[in-house]
Amino acid sequence: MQSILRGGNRVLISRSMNVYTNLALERYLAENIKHQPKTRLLLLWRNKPCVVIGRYQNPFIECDIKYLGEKQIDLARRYSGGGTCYHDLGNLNITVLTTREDYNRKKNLQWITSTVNKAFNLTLYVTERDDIFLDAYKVTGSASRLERLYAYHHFTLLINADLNELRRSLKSNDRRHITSKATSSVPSSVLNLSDRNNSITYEKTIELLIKKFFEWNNEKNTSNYDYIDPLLYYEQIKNFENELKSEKFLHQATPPFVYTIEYKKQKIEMFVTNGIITSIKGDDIIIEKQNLLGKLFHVVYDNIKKINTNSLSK
Amino acid sequence: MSTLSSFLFRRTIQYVPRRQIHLTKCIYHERYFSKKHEWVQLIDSNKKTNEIRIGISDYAQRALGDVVYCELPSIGTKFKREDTFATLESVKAVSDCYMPIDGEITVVNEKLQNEADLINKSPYDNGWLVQAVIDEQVKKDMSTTLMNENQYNKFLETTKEAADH
Repeated sequence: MQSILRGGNRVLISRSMNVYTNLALERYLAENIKHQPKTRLLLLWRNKPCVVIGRYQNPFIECDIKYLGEKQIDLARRYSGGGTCYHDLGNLNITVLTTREDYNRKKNLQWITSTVNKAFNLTLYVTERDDIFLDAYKVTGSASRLERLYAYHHFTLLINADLNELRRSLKSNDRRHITSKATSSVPSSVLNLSDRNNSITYEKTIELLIKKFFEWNNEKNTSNYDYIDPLLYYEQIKNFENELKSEKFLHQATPPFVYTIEYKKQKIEMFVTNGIITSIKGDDIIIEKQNLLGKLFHVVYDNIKKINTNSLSK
Repeated sequence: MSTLSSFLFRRTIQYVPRRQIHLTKCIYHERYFSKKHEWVQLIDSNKKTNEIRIGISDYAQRALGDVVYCELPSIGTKFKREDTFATLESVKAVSDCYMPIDGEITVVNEKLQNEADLINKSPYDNGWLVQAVIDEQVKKDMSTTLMNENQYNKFLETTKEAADH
């Protein structure tokens, strides 16, 4: 069997539906493949329900953490920038991996829009922000990561996702409590491709993209695509996967922020750096402060919410 | 430095040894550039140690687009040349910055916490990223391991056009 890390124009389709595994696989491939100039690797993947935030975002601002916990929707922070998205099996993730010099977001998005438009008779277009819209609705959001030798651009494609779950998951009640310099998402109304053409399915889209990918790259070897089971590469990707799952990366990589609440009509400000409450300003409520200072914000989050609720009910 | 004083400065140093020029109380040293578009400049805040300032070039900031977030290292961290010492997020792309030479971080530009776009507005001045101490040998090698401004400009001409973001 040919090496998974060989270069050239190739397509890989992941069999995993676990967001941490897929993000780890993506990074592993990016860091280890022998990238050849003027060639592209296309990675196609999808996840069971999860919310993915950008590298420098604050999960409390971007989604309803409690709801995610209740519904067992995974929360992941990716290595690339950009905003927050909701994935489920009706959403296709596409990664284009190249050498640093060959990185070109517009080209990737133009390829997708023209391919999908032709095949499914749609009118997708690329915006200035490197999103793809259909009329007034967003169907694709993109983000990238640029390293010394490689670069990847990945983007979503809403085919048939549960948009109600999407809206519910990305609704945060904490936005007004938080001040920070974290990257903010630019929310848009979304739409599934299948809402406009109900013959579009995930499987059909994958087939289409595999076929058209080789044409796009003038690649004669049109059978250079593989389904990959990341479990077979567990040893190689486990470090990334563990990092992605870790509390440290998920919560402590959040840029510094201030969480403000009202207690008995007094304002209390909690300063959080690296996920830890480093100081609390406001009226002296000794017991609460002792319990909260130095603690990991996300661990004491429920207690903090209770303070706020108690104050409101008085 | 303003455009005018840079111009005058460059004119003046054509006729004097390239090492040091006194301009009032400040000592300006030449800037050196890496192939990854970082710049290095010796500063003389403390004459006992060799301290440098590092930032990214104008070419790099334009290629990145508006920087929205900047992750800087901790003071005291030691890096080797080409190690990632900072990460920038701009227009949804996260990119790493690479150490142009070996050094130990002494100061980070705190202003970037709230004004990450200083990197775009003033890449050679207020948008500097970090300061580091380097050892004598590294300092001596700078002119051979890195490019001076002229060499860098020539290098830019031969580099392929930055891909659009």
